[in-house]
Amino acid sequence: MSQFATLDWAIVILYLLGSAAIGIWSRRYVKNMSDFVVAGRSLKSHLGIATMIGTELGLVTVMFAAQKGFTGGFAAFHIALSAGVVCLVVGWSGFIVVPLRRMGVMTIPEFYERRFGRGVRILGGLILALSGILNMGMFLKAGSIFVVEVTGLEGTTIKWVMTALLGLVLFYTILGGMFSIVLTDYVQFVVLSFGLIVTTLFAIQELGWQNIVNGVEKLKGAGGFDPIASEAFGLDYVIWMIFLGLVSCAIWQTAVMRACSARSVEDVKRIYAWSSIGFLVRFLVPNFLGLCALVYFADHAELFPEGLEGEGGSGLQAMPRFLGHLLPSGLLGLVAAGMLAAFMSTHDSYLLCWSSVLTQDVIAPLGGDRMSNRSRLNLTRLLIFAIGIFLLIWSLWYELRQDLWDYMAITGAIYFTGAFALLVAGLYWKKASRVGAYLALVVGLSAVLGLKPIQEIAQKILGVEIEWDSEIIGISTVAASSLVMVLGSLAFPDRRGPEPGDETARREVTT
Amino acid sequence: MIESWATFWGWTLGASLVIFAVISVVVTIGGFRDIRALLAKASDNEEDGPEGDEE
Repeated sequence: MSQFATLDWAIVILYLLGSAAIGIWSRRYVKNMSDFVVAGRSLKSHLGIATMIGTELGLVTVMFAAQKGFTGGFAAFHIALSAGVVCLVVGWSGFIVVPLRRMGVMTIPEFYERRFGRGVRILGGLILALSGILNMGMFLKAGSIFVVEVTGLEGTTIKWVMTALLGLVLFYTILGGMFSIVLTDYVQFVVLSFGLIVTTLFAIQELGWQNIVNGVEKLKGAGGFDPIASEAFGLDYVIWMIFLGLVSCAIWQTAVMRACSARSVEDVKRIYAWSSIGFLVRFLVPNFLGLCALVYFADHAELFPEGLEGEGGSGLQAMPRFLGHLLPSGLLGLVAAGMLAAFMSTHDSYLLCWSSVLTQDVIAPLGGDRMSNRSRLNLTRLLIFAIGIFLLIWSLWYELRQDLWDYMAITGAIYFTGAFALLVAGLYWKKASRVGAYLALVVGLSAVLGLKPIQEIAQKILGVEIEWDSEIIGISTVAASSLVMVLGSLAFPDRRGPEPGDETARREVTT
Repeated sequence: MIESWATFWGWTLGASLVIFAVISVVVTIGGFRDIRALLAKASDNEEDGPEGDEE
């Protein structure tokens, strides 16, 4: 039985009401699209770090990383290490993010247009939004599983919890845009970062470090520590995680938006260098809590009848249920508020991100960029609402048949495999051409084959057994997209002169 | 072998937590100052005039 009590409910409700109040209050500062999407490009480094970690350390991250810890043991830590080290390298080198900030673009498709032309922007924007919205598809479900497990609510209430959480996020994102996100992200960063540190120390104190190590060794053997030897991972998975580390911080639109919101190039590099520890911890601590849950439920099997293999997505339930049993009332409320804060901070940023991509990069360019600032703002708000409704339906309908992290990696790959080729070639290779860009984007779409339900459909159509791991699909798609980008550019170089304004941008971004 | 891995991951976790705790304190204090500056700037813009059309 969870220890969630009246005091915990009071803490959570007060916190949620506070977040809604910030949304209403922030509305006064939103005057135009730039204020709404990038907070007027005025983020300094401390606030930039807080909001970047606040966004990327979402509840869904905590949930899928904990699931990986539950199924993979200490070996899952390699995901965290890859993310942290790669982000640090990006911060030091400014790879991709600095030239993007110098251009002053608000979205990656905006870069596509300045480098490759309007058609690439529209196609790229559409693929980015599709991938991003699908990627968000399981956020609500993960958030609701957390709430139900940590509070001890009945499992049947999950859809109502999903609806309520979504309603709250929509409310303050539509009202305040990036200003409300920055403010709530800051509060969420403070609550969650200290909450996670305290929870980790509490778990170590309660279970004992040596008992945790012994427990993982008993349950997983050497594979519970060595990612290469692990049945759950292996060398190809580790390589895929290193690439995902780069994607998460330098190519994924929500992280890049932080670079675009920064005041200067120096702030961009500082934000990335310091955020690297956040990118490390956002996986590491939940991984650890997940493996603590594994060890705890191995000794208390009656509390987790779903089984320690974590099959059928049951691994997602382990960490929140563990917290519900481990933490005392009061601390449990604070941690739950922090986690809900994390849920909202990711949700609001993602909703704003994909809706602004659709407005700025697909709909407005299709209409010849004649939309007024006010119309764009209203359209973005309308799209936030529409995406929210889609997410609710998708969360209720889609059956997750793989680890949440693998689902997210592969839905993200629909966009970032092509985007990686376009960004790297577009920024650092003068011969990169429009045809190469189109080909890379289209080939990147094939990453969708990494989703289990899609594989089952393909299996029925082709009549052959298909069992492709997501990391194999991901790595293959990255290689194929990069290859067609190079071949397409060499075979079909840009013949006609650049569009007005393109040449300046091209010189700027390829030097 | 397992012992070496356990030690390595233990140090990784411990060092990360310590650095993250320090960063959290620094960012909490610095971020508060940044918010005040951000809102002050936004208020100035608000007083400057009606809604602009810049992108």
